[in-house]
Amino acid sequence: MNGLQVLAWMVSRLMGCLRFKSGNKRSFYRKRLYRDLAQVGADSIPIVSVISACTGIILALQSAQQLEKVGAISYVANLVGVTIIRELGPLLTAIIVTGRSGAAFTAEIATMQISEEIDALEVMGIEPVRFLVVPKLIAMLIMVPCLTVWADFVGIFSGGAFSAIALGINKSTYFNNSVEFLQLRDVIAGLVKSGGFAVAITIIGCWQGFLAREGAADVGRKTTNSVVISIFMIILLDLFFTALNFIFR
Amino acid sequence: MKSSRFAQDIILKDLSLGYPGKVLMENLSAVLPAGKISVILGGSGCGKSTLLRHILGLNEPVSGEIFLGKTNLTDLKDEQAYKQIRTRMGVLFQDGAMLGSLTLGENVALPMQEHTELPDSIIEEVVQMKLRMVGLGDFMHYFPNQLSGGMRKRAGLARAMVMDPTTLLCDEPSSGLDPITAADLDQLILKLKETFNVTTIVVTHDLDSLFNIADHVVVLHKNRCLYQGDLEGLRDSDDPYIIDFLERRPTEIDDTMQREVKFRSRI
Repeated sequence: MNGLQVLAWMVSRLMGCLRFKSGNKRSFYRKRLYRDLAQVGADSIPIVSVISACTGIILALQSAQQLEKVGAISYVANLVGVTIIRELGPLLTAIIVTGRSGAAFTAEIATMQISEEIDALEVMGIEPVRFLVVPKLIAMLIMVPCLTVWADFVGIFSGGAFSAIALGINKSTYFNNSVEFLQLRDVIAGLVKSGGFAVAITIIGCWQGFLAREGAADVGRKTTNSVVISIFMIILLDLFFTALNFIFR
Repeated sequence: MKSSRFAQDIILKDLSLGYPGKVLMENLSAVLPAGKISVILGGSGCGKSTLLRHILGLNEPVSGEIFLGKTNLTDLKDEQAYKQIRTRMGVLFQDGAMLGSLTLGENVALPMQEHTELPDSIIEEVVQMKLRMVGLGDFMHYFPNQLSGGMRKRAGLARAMVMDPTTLLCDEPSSGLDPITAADLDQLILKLKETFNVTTIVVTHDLDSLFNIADHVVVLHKNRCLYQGDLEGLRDSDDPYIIDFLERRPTEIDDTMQREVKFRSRI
């Protein structure tokens, strides 16, 4: 099967699994879901926190430089809040999750593919897509929006703290401006984006894993492909969601 | 579809198999008898493992048919029907193919958890019994990467036997093992056949294994079946390839080296 045939095979089986109503309630599916939830979510919190904090501070610094010239330094909060909630929170979280979890999905499935573990699942009558992809997809759909909300919070908070300490902006003014300027619509738009990114990262990560054929070197190649294609798709999806948001503003 | 609980013949009828652009086997016809150990013998790359993959339905044959008893496996288009047939087949892959993220106990329990409604406590009992049967009773909570190659293969056998299959397929069980571990594994396969009366197919190029376990032999070479029958007939065969194979005499490598010597002498 070529690349697109494997993608079609995986997506059709995934749709079949999602249609399967009764579902297997056995503990090993729950265990796999818990493991993936921890791997995608809890394990990503430190890196997401550090990068969001740095981004919040960078945005505060950059915007302060420009706004100071026109005497509008108190608008730093608005700029940091909107940029993080609408754009950088979902985008940076998705890129971090691609590097951590998307690459891990590809490497895990690719290694299983070349060591005949996927074949073993097939001959045991266990649907590999349900066993491997469905728990990952559910975990990503739950955890990527949660991580995005966390990244938004940390980014705005760190931007505010930095502005208060280094730029002399009053803390309460900063946070009042942030809350006043932001709309619920912005938060929802960010979360919808992050849901779309989660689906794209999971599908691409697992698809590249199933494509692995030629030993250990291919695991490395497919993992690289997975990260590159995922980031490309994230940017395209971001453009699509932003355009949609602009049209229906 | 209901599959038989008794051991059945596996019948290969005019089977041509391979991959797109490459035919590995043409018009192979053979009967792998019920309740016996059939060894599929041949050199590396002759299509032994590919034949096993076709019997398992992991690949589709170019042409021909594969029967398990009276069921034509090549006609089973419905995934569910194949899934049901597979519950009656146990497979030992070349390196065991144990799932690295699960313990041995969880690996062996997988087929039962998927295909039965039995409570977890009963499944755990059965898993413990199957692991004891292969001598790994104390390793239930170990992960596959904590075990040696031979232990992983024995665990693979326990997983293959957990649903009490009527057919057991083993892909090069003794490859990469020391002679004593390989002989242990051969004894285990013999014990399983005698205890559970399973139709066993073993793909190998290991002659020690062949003489230890085979009731029936199929020899594959250069896209065709050279021989099928019992061990006596194999020993008496006058086919030059079979004689070379049994006497471990180098043929193709020898030819290649002779060609290289001629080539070097010319330049």
